[in-house]
Order: sequence, then C-alpha cells, then structure tokens
Amino acid sequence: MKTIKISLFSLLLAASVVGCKKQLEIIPTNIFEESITFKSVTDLEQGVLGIYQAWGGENTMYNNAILSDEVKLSNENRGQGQFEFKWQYSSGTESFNFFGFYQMINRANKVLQAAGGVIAFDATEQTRKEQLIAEATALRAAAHFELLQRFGPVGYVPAGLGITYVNTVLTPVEKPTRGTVAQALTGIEADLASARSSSLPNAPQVTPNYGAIRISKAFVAGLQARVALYKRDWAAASTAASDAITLSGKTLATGATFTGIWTDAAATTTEPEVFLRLRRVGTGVGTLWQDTNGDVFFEPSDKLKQQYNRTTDIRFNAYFTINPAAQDTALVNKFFTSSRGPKIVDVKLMRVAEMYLIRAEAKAELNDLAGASADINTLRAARISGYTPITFTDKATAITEIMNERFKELAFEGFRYFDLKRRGLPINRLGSDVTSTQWQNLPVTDYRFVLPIPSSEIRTNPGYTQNPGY
Amino acid sequence: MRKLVLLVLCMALTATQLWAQTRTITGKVTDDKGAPLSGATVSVPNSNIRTATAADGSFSINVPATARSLTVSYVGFADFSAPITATSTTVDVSLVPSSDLEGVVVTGYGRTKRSTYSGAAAKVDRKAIETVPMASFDQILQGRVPGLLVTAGSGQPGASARVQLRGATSISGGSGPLYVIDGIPVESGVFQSINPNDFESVDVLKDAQANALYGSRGANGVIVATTKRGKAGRTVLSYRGQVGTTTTGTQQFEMMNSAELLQWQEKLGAFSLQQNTAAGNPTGPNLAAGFPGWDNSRLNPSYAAATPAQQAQRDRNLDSVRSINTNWKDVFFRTGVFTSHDLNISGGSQNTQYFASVGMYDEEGIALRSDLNRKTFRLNLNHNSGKLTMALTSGLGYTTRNFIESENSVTLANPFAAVYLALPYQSLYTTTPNRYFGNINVGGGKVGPNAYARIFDRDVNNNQLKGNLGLNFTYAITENIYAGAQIGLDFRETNAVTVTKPRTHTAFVSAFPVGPPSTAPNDTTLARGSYTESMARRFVHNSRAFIGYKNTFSQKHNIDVNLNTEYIEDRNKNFGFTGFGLNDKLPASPSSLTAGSINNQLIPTFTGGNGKTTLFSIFGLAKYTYNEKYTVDLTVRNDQSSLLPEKNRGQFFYSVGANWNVLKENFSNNWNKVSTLRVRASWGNSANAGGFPIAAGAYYPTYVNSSYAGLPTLLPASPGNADLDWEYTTQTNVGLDFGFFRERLTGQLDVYNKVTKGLFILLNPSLQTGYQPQQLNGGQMRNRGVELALNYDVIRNRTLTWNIGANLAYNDNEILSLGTEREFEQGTSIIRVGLPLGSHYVVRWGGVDAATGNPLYYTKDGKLTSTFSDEDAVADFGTFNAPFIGGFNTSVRIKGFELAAFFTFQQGFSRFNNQDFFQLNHAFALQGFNLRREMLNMWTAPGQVTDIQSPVTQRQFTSKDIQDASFLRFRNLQASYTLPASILGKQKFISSVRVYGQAQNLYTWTKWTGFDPEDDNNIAAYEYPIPRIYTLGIDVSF
Repeated sequence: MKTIKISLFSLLLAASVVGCKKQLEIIPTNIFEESITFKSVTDLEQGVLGIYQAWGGENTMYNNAILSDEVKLSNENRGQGQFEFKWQYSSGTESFNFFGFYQMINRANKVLQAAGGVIAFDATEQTRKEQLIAEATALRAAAHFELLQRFGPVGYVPAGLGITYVNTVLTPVEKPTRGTVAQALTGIEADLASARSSSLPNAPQVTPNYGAIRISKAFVAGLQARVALYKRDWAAASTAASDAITLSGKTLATGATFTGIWTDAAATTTEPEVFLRLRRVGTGVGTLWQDTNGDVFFEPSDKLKQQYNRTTDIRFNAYFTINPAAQDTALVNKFFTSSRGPKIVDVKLMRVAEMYLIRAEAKAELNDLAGASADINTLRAARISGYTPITFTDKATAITEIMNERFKELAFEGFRYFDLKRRGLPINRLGSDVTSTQWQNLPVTDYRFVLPIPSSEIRTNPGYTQNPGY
Repeated sequence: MRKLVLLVLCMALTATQLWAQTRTITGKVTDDKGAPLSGATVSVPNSNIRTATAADGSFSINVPATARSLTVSYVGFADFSAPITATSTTVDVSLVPSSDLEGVVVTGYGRTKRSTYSGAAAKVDRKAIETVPMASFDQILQGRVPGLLVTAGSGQPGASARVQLRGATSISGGSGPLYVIDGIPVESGVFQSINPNDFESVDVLKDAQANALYGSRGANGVIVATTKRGKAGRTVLSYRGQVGTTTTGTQQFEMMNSAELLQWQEKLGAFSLQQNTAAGNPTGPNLAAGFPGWDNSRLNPSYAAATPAQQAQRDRNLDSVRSINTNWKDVFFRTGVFTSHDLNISGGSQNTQYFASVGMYDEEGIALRSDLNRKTFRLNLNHNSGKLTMALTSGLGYTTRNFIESENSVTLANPFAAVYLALPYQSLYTTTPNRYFGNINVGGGKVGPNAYARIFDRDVNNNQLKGNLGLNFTYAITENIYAGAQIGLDFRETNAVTVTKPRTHTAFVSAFPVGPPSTAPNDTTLARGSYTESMARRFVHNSRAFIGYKNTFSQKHNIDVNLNTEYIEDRNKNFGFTGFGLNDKLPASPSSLTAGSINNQLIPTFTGGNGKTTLFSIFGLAKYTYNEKYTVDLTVRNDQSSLLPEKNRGQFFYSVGANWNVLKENFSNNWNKVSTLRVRASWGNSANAGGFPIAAGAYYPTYVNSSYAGLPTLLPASPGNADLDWEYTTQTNVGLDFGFFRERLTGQLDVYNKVTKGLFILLNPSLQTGYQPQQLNGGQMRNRGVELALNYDVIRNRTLTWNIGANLAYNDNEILSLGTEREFEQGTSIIRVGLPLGSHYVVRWGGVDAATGNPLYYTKDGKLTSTFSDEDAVADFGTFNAPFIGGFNTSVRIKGFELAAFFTFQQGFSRFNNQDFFQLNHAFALQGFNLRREMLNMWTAPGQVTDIQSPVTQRQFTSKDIQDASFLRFRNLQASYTLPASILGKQKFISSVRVYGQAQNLYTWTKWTGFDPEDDNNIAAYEYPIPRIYTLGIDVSF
C-alpha cells in the first residue's frame, strides 16, 4: 500500500513536470511577433500609417518659431520653451526630435523590408502595394530631410556635417558614424526620384473624413523643390516647383477659403492649397502657443506683425488675434482651433503657396526677375486686396523681398529658422520682442545657429561627430 | 544493498527502544507568568517519543526507563530541558519567552529551529508590529532588521515603502524582496489591505541558504510573514482599539510672509531700475513691474512723480496688501483622525484550532481629502488527525482610499507644492462670489485658491479588494516518509476613480473636452467634467507538491530530505475608460456621463491589457544534523521562467550552508558565561525572477497595435533580445550567533559578499536605429557588508526590567562592470563602473561671484567658470542609497508599567532637493510664486557676499541642490500599563487589560531642509511627508 502511495506521488510529480513545459511557452497578449505582422497589403497599409504617426510636424513648427524672430515670450510664460528661445540649449537638454525622425525612418525601413514578402492577390492589390512602397520611400526621404534641416551646417555646404542616411533596418548594436550633407542629399534625392516614378496618384487625394493625409506625386515634387533650394540647384527647384503646382491641380485660395484653411474648414472636401496634412485629434497644435487653461506661452512677435498691412492683407487676421486694448498683445491664430475642438487643428506640411515662393526664389537666383515678379504677384494678389503688381529690377532686392514674403506667408509653418540658416542670414529680433539684449540677435557665425546632436547619441556612439561648439 | 541493511538495522534499533520498559510522567507547562501553555511539545531527546500539552498545559508521556531528561519546546519560548530521575513521575515546567534571536525561523517552506539553521535570518516579533499606527506593514519594518533598508516615499495613508535588503541587486530590474505570507507568495508593494495586527511574526531571510528555497525569486531576500494561529484550550476573545490624531511633522524651512515678499519685490524693482539706468535706459522694462511691492514702492520713480493724493493711495495699497497674510499651511493641512479596532477570537481542541479576526482601520491624512479606510477579515484553521496535518489560511481585506492630486510632482495641483508656492498676500476667499466657483478667490495666478478649489473640484480615490488563501497539508505515509501539497491564491483588484466635477473652476480651466475655453457664459456644454474609472486585477496562483524522508540514526544523525515541484502562474488584467459630460447632480458615477457623438465630440477613451507569466520549479532540500552540533544544508533547484527564451529558460541554483553549535563541544563545557555560540556559513546563488524588467515576448521582435488619428496602425514595439538571461546573484555569508550571561546579552553578527552577474542594463542603442532602450544582460554589481544585532537586558528581575537593543548595518555597493556598454545617465544619476548605484551626477556649484552676482560652476577639471555646461557634470556627490542604516530601541518595565522608545537612522547619503530649485529661484517669483526667506539675501550690489545669485541670471540645476539627507528619527514612543490581576479581581469576565499611548515619528534630526529626508527615490519633489501620529489605545482579553 505504501509503495503504491509513493509511486502515485512520484507519478504526479512527473506529470506536473511535463504539463508545465507547455505552460512556460506564453504568447504575449499586448504585443505580437514580427513574423506575423505583415501578412497582407492591409497590414502594409497600417504599417505605412504608422510612419505618418511618428512624424512630429508640430515640432518643426515650434522650433522654427521659437528659435527665430516669429514669436516673443508672453508674460504668462512659466518657462515653456524659454531655454530654446534664448538659445540656451545644450546637447544634454535638447533633442530637437533627433530620435523621433529616426524612429519614423526605422518604421519606413521595416515596412520596406517586409513589403517584398507580402503577396498581392490581384492587380488592384499589386498597385496598392507599389503605392505603399513608394509612400514609405518618400516618408523615409522626408524624415531624413527634416533631420538635415535641423542638424546640418549654415548654408548646408555639401562637405559639411550632415546626417547619416539610414536605408536599412539597423540592429540595436549598430552605431553609424556621421555622414556629410552631400551624402544625405544623395540618399534623399534617390528616394524621392523613386517615389516620383511610382504609381502614386499625381494630385493629393482626400481621404474621407481626414483630408489630404497621404503622399502624392505633387508632394514628392514639392519636396524635391525644397531639397533643390538647399542644394542651391535653382533650375531643379524651379522645375520641381512647377511640376508640383501642375501635378497638384491646386490653386491659391482667396477670401474665406484661405481663412478656412487654418481651421481645417474644407479639409475633408475641397482641401484648398494643402498637399499634405498631419491629422490631429485630442490635444493639438494650439497648445504650442497657449496652455489649455488659457495662459499664453508665446505671442507673435512685433516684428512679424509689422510686416503686414492690417487692413488689406487677409493674412493678418487669419494668422493673428489682436487685442489692441492690451498694448496690441496678440495670439497665434494660424494654428489654434478647428471645428473639432479648441486648440485641435492639423499640421499642414506643404501648401501650393510655398511652391510659388520656391519658384520665385529660384527664378530670381537664375536672374529671371520677370518670372520671379510674376510668381510673387500671383501670391500677393491672392492675399492682399487692391494689390498693385510689382516688378523686381535687381536680384538682391528680389531675394530680400521673396525671403520677406516667405516670412509673412509661411509664418509658424516651420520655415523661418531653416530659411535664415539656409540663406546664411542672422536672427535679428526687435527690442520690443525680447526682455534682454542677450537674446536679441544671433549672428550666423554663432555656433548656436546649428543645433546640437543630443548628447545621449554621442555618449552611446562616440564615433558620431558633434556639431562644433557643443 | 548495504544502505538498505543499515536502514533496517537502524529501524530495528529504534524499535528495540520502544519495546524496552517504559513509565509515565505527567506534568504541566506554563509560561513565566504561570499561564498554561497548550500545544507545547514535550519530548524525550534522541527519540521519537513526543506529546503535546493539553488546553490546561498538562501532559502525560511514556518515557523509557533510561531517559534522564525531557525537552519542552514552544514557539516563542526558549527550549527547556527538564532533568528527570529514574523515579520521577511528575515534572512541572515554566518556560521563559525567548528573545528575538531565539526560537524558530519560518522559511515559508517550513519551520526550522534556529539552533540548527545555517542561513542568515532575522525575526521581527509581533510586539514590534502590533499597535503601530501604519497601514502598510513594510513601513513598520524600518529600523527593525539589520540590513533591511525601508524608505517610505509618501505619508499618504497606506502607501507602501521601498524595501531593499543588503543593497540593490539590479540596475533596471526590481530590487525589492519577495514577500510570503503563510507560505503563499504575495504581490509586493500592495499591503494596504493586509492587517499587520494579524501577524504573529515577520522573518527576514537574507543569505543564499535562506533564499535558495525561493531559487530564482530569492536574490533580493525574502520577507516571510506568519499570521496568528489558534491554540488549543480556552476560547479567547480579545479587543484592541486605538484613537489618535495625525499631524504634520517638523518643517526645516520658512517661506516669506507678505511683508517680506513685498520687501523682496521692492528690492528686485530697485535692482532692475539700477540696471536699466546703468544701461542708459531708466524707463526700460522693470522686472518687478506689476508686483504690488514695487508698483506702490517709494523707491519707484513714478512715486515721486505722483500727486500727494496718489502717493497716499499707494501707501494705503501697500498697507492693505501687507495686512493680508494667508497662512496656507492652515488652509491645506489638517489634524487628521486615526481610529483602529481589532477583534479576534481564538481557541480550539487538541486536534483543531482556529483564529478568527476582524479589523477596522481608519486614518485621515494630514492633507485635506487624503485618507484610508480598511476592513479586514481572517480565519486560520489548523487540524491534526495523527497522520494528516492541515493548515488553512484565509485573509480578506477591503480598502478605500482618497488621494491628494499630483502627489510627488512639481505641479500646482499638488497641495504640497501649492502650500509653499502660494502668495501670502492673496486671500483664500473673495467678497465677490462667482456663480460657479462660489467665494473661493480662483483665477489666473491664484496659486493657493486654485489648488484649494481643486480639492473639492476633483475626486481621486481607489478601492481595493485583496484576498490571500492557502491550504497546506502533510500526510505521514510512514513514520519517516511524508508527502503533501500547498495551494495558494493571492488576489488583488484595484478599482480607481478620478472625477473632475462639472461646472467647477478646475473643469473650466481644463482642456477640451473636460472644459472648453468658450467665452459664452450660458453655454450648457461649458465645463463638462470627466469621469475616469479603471480596474486592475492580479491573480497569482501557486501550487507545490512535496515528498520527503526524515529519520534519526544512532540517536545522533538527523536527516531530512525532500523533493518539491512548484508552479506559479501570475495573471493580470486591467481596463479603464474616461467619459465626458457629467451631470452635476450625479458627479461620482458613470451613470452621470453624456453619450459621445460626432457632434458633441465627447468620445470616451479607453485603456486595457492583460498578461500572464509562469514559473515552474523542481527542487530538493537536504538537511543533516549531527548530534545538534553540526548541521549541513544543501539545496538544488531548477527554475524555468516563461519570460526567458527557451535556451536560457531553465537554470539550476544551488546553495550549501553549515552551522556549528560550539557549546555542544566538550572543550566549551566550562564556558559558563557563554550561553549561545554558533558559527554559520553559507554559499549559494539565486536570481531575480520576481523583478524581471522585461515583459512577455521580449526575446523576439515584436509589433504593437496603435492608431494614427483614429486609423489603425502597426508599430514596431521592440527589436527583441534573443539572449535574455537571468540575473545571477551569488552570495557568501558568514555569521555568528552569541549569547552571554544566561542570554542577558545576545547578538548576531553577519558578514556577506553578494555579487550579481548578468545584470540587466538598459542598452541605449544609437538613436539612429529608431529603437527605444533595450534590456540586455551585461553588468556586474557587488554588495558587501556587515550587520550586527545586539540585545542587552540591563536589569532583569521580577519587578523591573530594562532592555536595550540595537541593530546596525553597513552595505557597500559598487558597479563592477557594465559589460560591453558604456556608462550611462539614469535620471539625475550616472551608472558608472566603480561607483555605487544611484550616484548623483550634476555640475558642481561654485557659489556666487560677489563682483557680478553671476552663478559660478566648476568645470570637469576643477576650474571656476560662469558658463554652465551639462558636459561638466561630475559624480562626486555620493548616492541616494543610505549605506549605513539601523535602529535602536529601549524599554523599561516596572511591574505593569512599560515605557518603550524606538529610533531609526539612515546615514551617509544625499538627495536632490528639487524644492530648493523652485523656492530659491527668482525666476519663479517672476511667475508669481512665493519664495523662501533666504531670498532676501539675493545679490543686488557688487561686493555682496551671498549664495543667492543675481535676478538677471539663469538658475541652473547643480550640486547646490544636493543635500545630506542623513537622519535620525524618533520613530516611536509608547507608554503602557497592564492592569495587575489584583485589580481585575475575582471576576471571571475580563482576563487582562492593557492601556497605552504612543507617538509615531515624534522628531527627526537632520541637516536636510526639505519636508522629510526620508524618501524612496533620489529627489525631493513635493512628496507627501510622513505624518506624526499620536494615539491612545486599549487591549482587552476576555
């Protein structure tokens, strides 16, 4: 009897050992294996949307505004963005979204790596798959370009310290060293050329209820035009800008249609001017300038407000809310609200107006002053009531005027600081826009004009060259 | 075959003894006060002959004619060896309570006599736990056990503490010990629903031998709590009740009052004017413009320019502002009420005993709105039917808690921040009430009133149901072979609710959709409010089966060998939602919510997830004792965790320990002054499976489901690490247990060396890879130290006893290697080879330049500079983990009176005082916050020697904000009186009465200038300080 009891017990022990083997193999319930992730074109579609999800467009807007002369500190600011506004950033405290864009690149690379193994079941799916590949490729180029704009040198000289073009999925232990501007541009151009020759739709397509949230050939051409400006390849810039305008089928908006762009009024229907937007729900872009409780962090600078004719220029009231009673204090109205809720508004990544400005700048550089004047006149006519066309007579004036028009037209859209850096122009703020002369002017020779690579990257990857001065 | 013969021979020998002539001895076992002890074991040494005493303490035992002594033992009392002669027929024994170092060690897998225990373990007796007015028992352990670092991060009632035994063994994984209650592992850090008054004792298992029983989960030590059990005999009903108050402790700093703040503003204005004048722009913007202290100042140039009537008006303005002096501490803090009641019934028969208790605990925090209310139930049953012994443990607790907002964060919603940052010249109430906000003076910049309104505008609470159930049975198959099983459940469900009430100021200033900043005053959609509810459930099930063999050979060789299998399954599940648009008639219920639609945009949000991990183990324990003189313990264990890849999943853990009882040697026969002397040594390894910093699926590349503006997306979650492995901790311990002068002086000394290999390191991949930091096994860390516990009965006689006890521990922690990784920053500290974990890393403060008022810093190579650069950070400021910790206690008892004091200390560590950064920073005054009184010394003139920099410079986070946080705390003082039997007289109703009063956290000696030097992390950021509690109590037994 005892023997039986003991044997029974041993048997139980043994059985539990075998039974537990199975219990130790646990399939996670909140995440899933990469090997089952991309199985269909629909999965790829979701992967591509994940790339857009990583695109921190508001970061570009915010940094361009607070580093440049677009805004001034409100007296309700409790420290938000003050270090950056005063150029007191250091490599340890500011990342300027270095990681965010590489995360976007990694997602693009992962989609592109998996796409080959995804089977398209019919011709429609095959086309969709090709479009998704082109989209991921273009997104990869866009992310690299954002990085280059931030961390590249003043004037973006080809041999200068650029960023590394990453077009494969890296393992966690890889530590790429730093590439030049030229290397980055080569990678960006190759990806954009590939996307241009794909079966992407020409014009921006309105996704129902979302607007133009997907990349089209028009956007790719527009990005090519931007890239050409940084390369100072004026002919290419002019051509690409023309292509973008043609491909998009968009015209400059006027009147209420123009004002409506900034509240996403017609985003899901006619989508005026906009080539590509980042959809924002929940807490949104408006909180860059003003806290949810109403405290204002940044006001439009006096310098910017002075640029406009307050009565004839439609942009003034579209971009600002002015309280003349309180010493002309103003709020940024351009990215502030929509029908989806206060401070919830989309990021506009590219508009047709910018294409006119690119082409004008390129033409002026190519000494086609008549062409440059024509583009500027087209734009101004759409914005200013009773506008009298002008004719540029010398290149220098033309460039100054065009850069100023960019300042006015593209305010808060993420261009100003990059433009000054690209053209090698200093940041000059008005005395009334600063509380100390210490942060009034930043000459282009100052090392702080080029943003620091985050120290966490240098620490992990000592082979990566930091920008001078940090 | 030879072994079998030996075995049979041995059995025959034992049998022979049984057949020899026997006689019966009867007697009675009592405690030192004469009360009968039921269930005490009476045995004949070196035999299997034993019996238990009955309810009245009586026993009857048949002993062989050759027997010359009886051993009487009882848990909590010293063993007693009673000599018997050849003709003895009665023996009465009175047992003396054992001190902490005596008795038994409860390992969770069983009980072992300390005299044959080879591990390092300490016991906290019920006396140190009962009546302490703290809801979470881990906090009660502070200073009670050498080497156990207990630091509470919050004085919120019910908050649990950070507990670390013999230093941290992991950089990114858990360093907390494993908690076991009555053999059932329980979730750590969630003790609010467990009643410490139900505890009989808490054993802390420290070294490899002690921890090896828990194998892969034991590397950080094990805390084993044992709940009370019934005793055979009379049914005892007892009641314990306490009432008391909670108040704020000592504060080491002072904020400015209205007059001082106005004076400071004037000083700032004058300085700013002087700067502007020097720059040739006397009418330029003044830093103090808009502050009443400057606008109305006579030093303001506009004052001289004003008319006499205007001047008089300004003077009156200043007087009226100065006369408002709101004491914000009186507004936000309170004296809380503390009450607790416990009722328990215990008793039973020879075969079945029970213990049943109910407890009610109610504590109000020192901050408005914070409290805890707990109800607990327990039923413990023991049954013994000869061959089968069974123990059932069941505990159930239900707790509700209300919280302050944003605790431990630098936000104005945190009352502990607002109370100091609020302006003293603002009043709490306004004379022009708002139709929504009533008469609270809320609005932009109204720090104090806004935070005060939030206390009523929001609810933050949770309720928790916690259950612990365990069933343990052992069946004696033969006299020597036993088998059994243990099944345990640990269940916890926390239901948390956060409400922003509609149409309140807090809702009004919140983001859409809680409250839109619409200006339409009659818009019914204004200030909608929100309701968030979440549910988190954890369910841990463990089962263990065992079979063992024990025997005694030749009356000298004791062996006990057993084989166990154990399976633990840990399931968790959580979900929650947030809805918007509350009806203000129904503020605290989901039924109050407005359904969301595309038009009203009140779309509810949700969260949720679930998971499971499993651990399977098979292990063998062997113990051999020779003549109670030498003991050898051996453990071999194989653990498999579902969190690890198959190739590293199953691992073996070993330990070996030895104990030498020196006094059993012949050479020590005449060491009369020495009453205990044992040498222990152990070596073994274990791991950290309870604190893996990884989730299921971490060993392969994974994706996660997400969404982009409502469109579903697939995102890479982790690249996966196929080489994930255990963190192996190997520990060597050598210890000494000693007692002198008939145990008047007792103590325990331990020296240990603990090395953890394969430490999880958060690999920071190049940011260019796009991956978040990943865990990989690489580093090595060492903890070594020495621990001493001493207890001395200075006076010990019938009417007077005076006892002093102390425990001290020193731990040296050092990171030995980071494998292939470079050093990295972790928050405000750096992980660097050669330094201890948690070493502060910041730029060194160099004072204020008296000539310019500029702050100065030291560069990395020690030069003074006025340019701040993060690159100059150094790690010369020590660590936030106290290396030297301990406690001491003393008690005096004169007849029924007893006075006991208990102190704890933590020495040799420093912490960031983030409060200083805010309170000694002119920039925050410019934003409308109050500052500390020291700010009146702000630099304003060349040559002024001060450490407060000029107001036109930038205040940086430097070593200036690191402070020595060492402290000595008068933790508890208790005075009690036990009514003598003469007063209770002959009535049969009440058997004992004890009344007492106590003070908890009476005083703290420290150089720290924040609220409280004690905290569970490296930085003080407006934590809820530990309250001071006074209570009065009574214990009655019937």
